[in-house]
Amino acid sequence: MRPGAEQVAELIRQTAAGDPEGIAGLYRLYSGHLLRLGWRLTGSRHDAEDIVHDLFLGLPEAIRSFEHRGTFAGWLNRVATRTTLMRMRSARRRREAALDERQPAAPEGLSAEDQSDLDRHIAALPATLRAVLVLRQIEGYSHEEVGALLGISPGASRVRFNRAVQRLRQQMMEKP
Amino acid sequence: MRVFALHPDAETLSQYAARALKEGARIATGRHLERCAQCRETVKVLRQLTELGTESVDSQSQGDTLAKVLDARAAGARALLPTAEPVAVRSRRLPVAAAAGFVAIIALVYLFSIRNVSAGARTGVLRFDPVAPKPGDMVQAIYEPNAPLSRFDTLVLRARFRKPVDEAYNEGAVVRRVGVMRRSGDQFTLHFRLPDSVVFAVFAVESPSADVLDDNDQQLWGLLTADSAGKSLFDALVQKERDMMGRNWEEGLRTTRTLAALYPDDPEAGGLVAVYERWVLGDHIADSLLPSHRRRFAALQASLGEKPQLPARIIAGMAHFAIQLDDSIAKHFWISRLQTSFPDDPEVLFREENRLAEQYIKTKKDERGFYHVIETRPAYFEELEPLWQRDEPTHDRSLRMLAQNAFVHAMQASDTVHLRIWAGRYHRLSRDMAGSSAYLGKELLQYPTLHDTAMSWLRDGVRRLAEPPDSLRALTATAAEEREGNRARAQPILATLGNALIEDGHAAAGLDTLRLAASYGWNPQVLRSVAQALIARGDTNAALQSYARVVADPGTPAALKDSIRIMVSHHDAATWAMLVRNASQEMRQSVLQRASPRALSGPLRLMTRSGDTRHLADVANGKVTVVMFWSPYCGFSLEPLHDLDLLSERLASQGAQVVTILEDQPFSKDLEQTLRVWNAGDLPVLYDFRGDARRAFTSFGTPDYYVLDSSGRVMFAHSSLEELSRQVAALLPSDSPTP
Repeated sequence: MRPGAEQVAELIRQTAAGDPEGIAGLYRLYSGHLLRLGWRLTGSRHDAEDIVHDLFLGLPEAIRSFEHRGTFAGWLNRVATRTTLMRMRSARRRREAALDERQPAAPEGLSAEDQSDLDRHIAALPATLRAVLVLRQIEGYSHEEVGALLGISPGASRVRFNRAVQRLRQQMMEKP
Repeated sequence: MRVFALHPDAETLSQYAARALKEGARIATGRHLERCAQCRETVKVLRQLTELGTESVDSQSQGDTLAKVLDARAAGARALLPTAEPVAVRSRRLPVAAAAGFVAIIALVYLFSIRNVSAGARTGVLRFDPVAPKPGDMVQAIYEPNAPLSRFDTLVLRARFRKPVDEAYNEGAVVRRVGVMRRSGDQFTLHFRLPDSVVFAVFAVESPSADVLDDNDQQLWGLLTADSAGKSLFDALVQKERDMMGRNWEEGLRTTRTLAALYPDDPEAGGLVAVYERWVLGDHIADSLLPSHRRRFAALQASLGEKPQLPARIIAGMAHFAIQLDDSIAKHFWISRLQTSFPDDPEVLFREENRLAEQYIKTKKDERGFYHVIETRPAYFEELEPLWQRDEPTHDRSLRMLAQNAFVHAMQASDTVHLRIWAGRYHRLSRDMAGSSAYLGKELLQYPTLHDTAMSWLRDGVRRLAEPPDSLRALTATAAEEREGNRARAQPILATLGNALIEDGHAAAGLDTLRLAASYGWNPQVLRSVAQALIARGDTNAALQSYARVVADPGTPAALKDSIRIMVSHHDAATWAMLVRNASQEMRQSVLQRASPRALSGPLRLMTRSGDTRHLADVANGKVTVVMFWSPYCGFSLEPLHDLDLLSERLASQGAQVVTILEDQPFSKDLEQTLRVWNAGDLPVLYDFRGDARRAFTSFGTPDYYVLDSSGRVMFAHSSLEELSRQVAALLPSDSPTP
């Protein structure tokens, strides 16, 4: 059931005041989707859980910057996306040379019932392509927004999107 | 009409699938799809992706995550989230002006974020207007209080003001009372003028009697000065980096990167980034980042190398940068240039002291890599004196290091003539540093001709800790916490002083001083001194009580315990057993009084010797656990490994354990060899491969010890090797055998 605007507004107010009830309320409403988003971007269930943990840990302070100019869910999605991408960048820096970007990320930690075949193919994409694909086609960001989030130009986002879709199609044809 | 000669790109197909294309493009795409199976397949995939949608994951572990979040917040843990909208990237090569603007925006976001760091009810929010003042500007501080401070009518704003010449770390740093903040509705405000000489400051807010404090969860609030265009001053960022040393290395790294972005032509900035990357990210990653630093250095070399006149700071900056890049030719070039152009520069003089030591002091390296002095030739001190005469007027921060080197060399050579000179100079320059008087006094006591000086410095150390000026109270300590800390610092000085008085024949004064030291906290060495002094005075009953405390302490060596038992064997056994039992209870209470329980928050993933990932909670497994952070590159953290290994063996039989955590590298054959050399081959070693442990424990520097209780809470933080046995014993059930 979609939450009512008043209910969300009250939960936001409670969360901004550091009230655990407010945090728990928003968590129940949005954590499932955010976990899915984090998992799709990182390819790792464990990392996604850590991201959701950190997100709600910092939410009462961060929520004060929510200016009610769009939906709260949209704002939360953007913050979660940035948090995830920051974490991925940080992890990439730490692994740096040891990790070949072209190596597909192994889907990790998600049970079979939680994961569709398509999800498994997405998780097998290289991280740079996977991020663009998820943000553009599933989350609905424009290439300008994807570029800003990933620190690349909109043109580069389009190129990566093209490659991601072609690669995904090939994967699905090879291993349906 | 548009016709596709090649396949339409995925974006076009995506819009076609979403029915978002305009008519012309839609028809052209449709025609292409009619004859292209590959693109039809792509559209099918795109539609599947859209339909995949954003459904939730339903999982049992989500409830656990929420519980962890709420527990962590209750324990005061917070996380800063990237709420600022990212800046769009237009092209790969930005024009210079645009790049400068981009850097400025990043810097502003950065500045904004540190000004407004808040952490909910536990901490308030301190803001400044203007957010980036110039030195000498009027500033308004606006504080929205946390719950404990909201009941006061007035509050006090305290600050550590940093000038361009101030040193790294914050030991002995002077804190100022900026002024009284007055209530204005739900806020407190204060107008104050930033001193002209101040480029960076950190602040805390407290109650008028200094018993309630908001230090932003020990992170404090920072204020960077800027130029009239709002660009952070070079010196402001350098001072911020120095302030972060030892208390937040990651923020230090971020600061140096901002410095390098805002001042790309300054070699000092480039060198600092390289230094911090090595400290914070480890050698492996730092090495991989070297090529970009080398390119930057090469560009600077090309632009600065031939310039005839450069300031000393720039030349020194190039030398430091070259050292970080391990470029010995460039290092030699820039150090030689600094020596030629600025022969009286403090760095030149300090390097000259190093050269003298190398030339005149013979050393031998042992198998563990430590150097031992074989011979110190008098020429070292003879040639050092004129250097000091040139260096002293500079009042540079390197003076203290130079004096310390000379003091240590004089002590190693047992040269009391030069020891008197250099100890005096070192003492004068380090008097405000905690423990300096105690250290110097204790070292000098062994030289009869310096005995009186040593005693006077010990008394001076005790006096300064008993009546400390408020300006030496840390920004993160209430008055009561500072008093307790000063008592702990004063205890070893009083003990040294007491023993020295007894040796000088002042038995009564010595005993009184030792008793005072013993009253400052449980310490078996002090208790033993008290017992010996009481025996010497013939007060056997009181001495027995003190000896019982020494025996009750789990850290007392078994041989000493046996000696004491033999000594007291002619006394009633039942009485002695009762005294030891009571002492054991007394020790437990005394140790637990100093416990500061806090939960660990966030994921705590560690890598085992075999490369598996384990969470600390699984490793601790409900046991009282000693956690030690160490590094194979830190001699101070290698030395205690063997003792820790022995402690680990002892604790195993008590149901407690020791775990060591490495910050900078995974397990390897080299590491195994290191552990063997230090007789600690059996110690459990885990690698903090994601920095989780360091963040959760807020650990900086090595060695760093913690003790966790059986529920996994940190009970004792930043402990010491000597205290670990007692702290573990205090946390084990009272009927457990003494470890």
